[in-house]
Amino acid sequence: MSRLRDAFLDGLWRENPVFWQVLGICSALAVTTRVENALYMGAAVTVVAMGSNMMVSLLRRFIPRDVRLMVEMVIIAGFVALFDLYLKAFSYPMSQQLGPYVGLIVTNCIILGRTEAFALKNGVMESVADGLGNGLGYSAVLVVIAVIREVGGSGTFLGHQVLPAGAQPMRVLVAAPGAFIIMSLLAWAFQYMKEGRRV
Amino acid sequence: MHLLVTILVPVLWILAVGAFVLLVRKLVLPSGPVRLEVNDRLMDATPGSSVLEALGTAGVLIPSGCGGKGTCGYCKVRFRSGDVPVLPTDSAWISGEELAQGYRLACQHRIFGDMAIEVPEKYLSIRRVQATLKAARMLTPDIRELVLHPDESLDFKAGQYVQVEIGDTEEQRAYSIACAEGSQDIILNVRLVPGGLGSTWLHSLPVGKSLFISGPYGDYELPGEHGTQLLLVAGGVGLAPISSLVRTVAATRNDMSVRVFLGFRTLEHAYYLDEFGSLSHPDLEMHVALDSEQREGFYHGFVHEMIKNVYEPPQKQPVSVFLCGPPPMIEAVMDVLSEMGISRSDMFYDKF
Amino acid sequence: MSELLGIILAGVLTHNILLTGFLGMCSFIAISRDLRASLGLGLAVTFVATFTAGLNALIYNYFLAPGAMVWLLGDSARSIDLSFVSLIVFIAVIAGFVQVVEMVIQRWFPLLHGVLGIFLPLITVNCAILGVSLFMVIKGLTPFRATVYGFASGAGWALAIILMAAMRRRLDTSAMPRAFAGVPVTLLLTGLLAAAFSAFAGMEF
Repeated sequence: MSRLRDAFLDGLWRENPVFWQVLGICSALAVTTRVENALYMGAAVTVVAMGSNMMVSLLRRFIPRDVRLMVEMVIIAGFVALFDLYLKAFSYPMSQQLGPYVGLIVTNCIILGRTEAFALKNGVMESVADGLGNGLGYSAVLVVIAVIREVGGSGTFLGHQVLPAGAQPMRVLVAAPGAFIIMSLLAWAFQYMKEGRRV
Repeated sequence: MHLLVTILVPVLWILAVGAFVLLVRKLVLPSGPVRLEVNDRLMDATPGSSVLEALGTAGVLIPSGCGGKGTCGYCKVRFRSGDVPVLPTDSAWISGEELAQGYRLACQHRIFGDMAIEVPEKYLSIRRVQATLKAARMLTPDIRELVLHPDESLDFKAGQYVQVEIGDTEEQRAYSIACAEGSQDIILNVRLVPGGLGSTWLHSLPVGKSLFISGPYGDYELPGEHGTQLLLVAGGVGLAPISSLVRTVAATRNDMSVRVFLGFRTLEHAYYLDEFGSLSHPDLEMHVALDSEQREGFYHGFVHEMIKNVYEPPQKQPVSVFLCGPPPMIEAVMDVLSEMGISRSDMFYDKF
Repeated sequence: MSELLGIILAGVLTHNILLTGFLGMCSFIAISRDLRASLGLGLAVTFVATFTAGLNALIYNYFLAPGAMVWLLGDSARSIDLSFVSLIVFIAVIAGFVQVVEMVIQRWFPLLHGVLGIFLPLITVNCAILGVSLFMVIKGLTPFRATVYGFASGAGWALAIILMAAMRRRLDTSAMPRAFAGVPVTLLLTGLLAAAFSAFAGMEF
């Protein structure tokens, strides 16, 4: 049980992929203009990470080494395509909002990285726990960035007006430069904490 | 009909891509193994693999620190056949003269046809073996002694080291062998580096588990000349190769005189002192310095200061020096010794 | 002609795939610390993006798009829509293409392989490449225009990473808080670069 918990907690916090390893920040920047988008994206990454970790772990003894990267990519792409279909069927507007960024989960280095580094070497249950932890860790970061950008940049939270009507939202936070700058400040804070931790 | 097309078309496309990749592979690579001539031995190699990989598969382990990325420059070998292009990674590590002689980095060149290369003879005795952790104990608060029992014995010389593969990772760490020549077991001293991948893993490895090591590596050889004075200097965990040398000389070389100078932070950080004390050798002297603690019977200060005060180089005997420890210590000691008139070419060191 | 120019200018400047689309950030951050490596990776990305965009557009327009297989199966294929698997096919094509290119240049162009070789495996997971193929579908480009678009996006990505590598050279000699060095300062600079590039946004093609 403690191994499952460790696999989960490592992904969620101790080895959080976005901040400790600076992986997968493409979509962390692209979809975080609104909190709702971030929630969906986080859910997508979590589901895909769990699913592909599970599949790769199940198949790990049967995948030939030479083509394992291609096999992993196709497995991941399969799960992403499924999630994409689900979005199209049940929440079409969100599917339009996220656009190609759902498809781009395939190249999210976190998922490939976890299948490669963890699922290929560990049992099914641990791999699922690892996928869940990493997915949730990733989602948490997305949501934090999205809250800053949506509240600061549009004055809303999940679509509801939260800033007083007279306040002028900082539009730059929603635009691309704002995304980079917020991410930079968060990375700074994290690196600061990391140094404290490593000493 | 529609369902059939829906399933078939994507599957066919993916298969087509796969088939195309395999086709190109067939066109590009000769089929069947090619011959790789290493010194005077012939071995098979898989076409398309790098020379380093092919050597590894054939059991010839040459040193490599970066895992084939061309960033360490260790895997230098001489290509005897054909003109092999000079890559930027080659010229970063190899001098123009050596490039002209055919030296290249083994990890950067791939095998597409029969090929002849030359590696230093000593690498041919390096092997990769599985070893079981037979016993372990803490020597100091942060140094663990590991007694490894390899499945096949490694024929090592005192002062050499082994590469230890760290669990499931592709990382390797080098550790000096601390036991006497001829020992079946391999003894290592591992200092825990906070946050260090290799030492953390080795400190938590339970007795009975096995791991892979390769070796022996390292160029040092005890001087053959009769009656040489051996001067051994170690700081902290740098004691490991010195321990191997002291034990070996005590067992086999009564003709030598041995002077050992050791430096530690406090007495708690010192180890192997009692074992060395019980060795029987006609001319063995040992001096220990503690730099952060005053104790009776120990020099208070740094090793190089102690050497300056205590050591007198012999008048007629040849001297051979082996130093192992942190770089500042080694530099300070080398300065002191060369002031005493010992030539730097007689000093061998291992910095970490 | 002016339309093609428009596609190129949009890909490089106004809709730069890295600075406005956030694609390819992982290798951007990792590699931009070295100018020569950035040049190599930029070239490799441009090359692969150009060809995979063209190839994927061919496959999409003649097989996967809704009703695309009419030329093959006749009118009964009008209702077949395979666009939902395009993702899987695209990634397989990209991975296969990269592998083929790697094998070919390894065999016949060892010097080029010395420059680009270590970057090719990185490219399969570079989201800019897959992103180009996915965006091309949304924009509904023909195979020829998709190739041009792929080239422009790759060149834009290369421009961004080369600019960043040049800037990071200066950073090596600047004093800054230790925790700010590395990733955070690179992201901040990227933000400023994006702000600078947004000045091109007024241009319409």
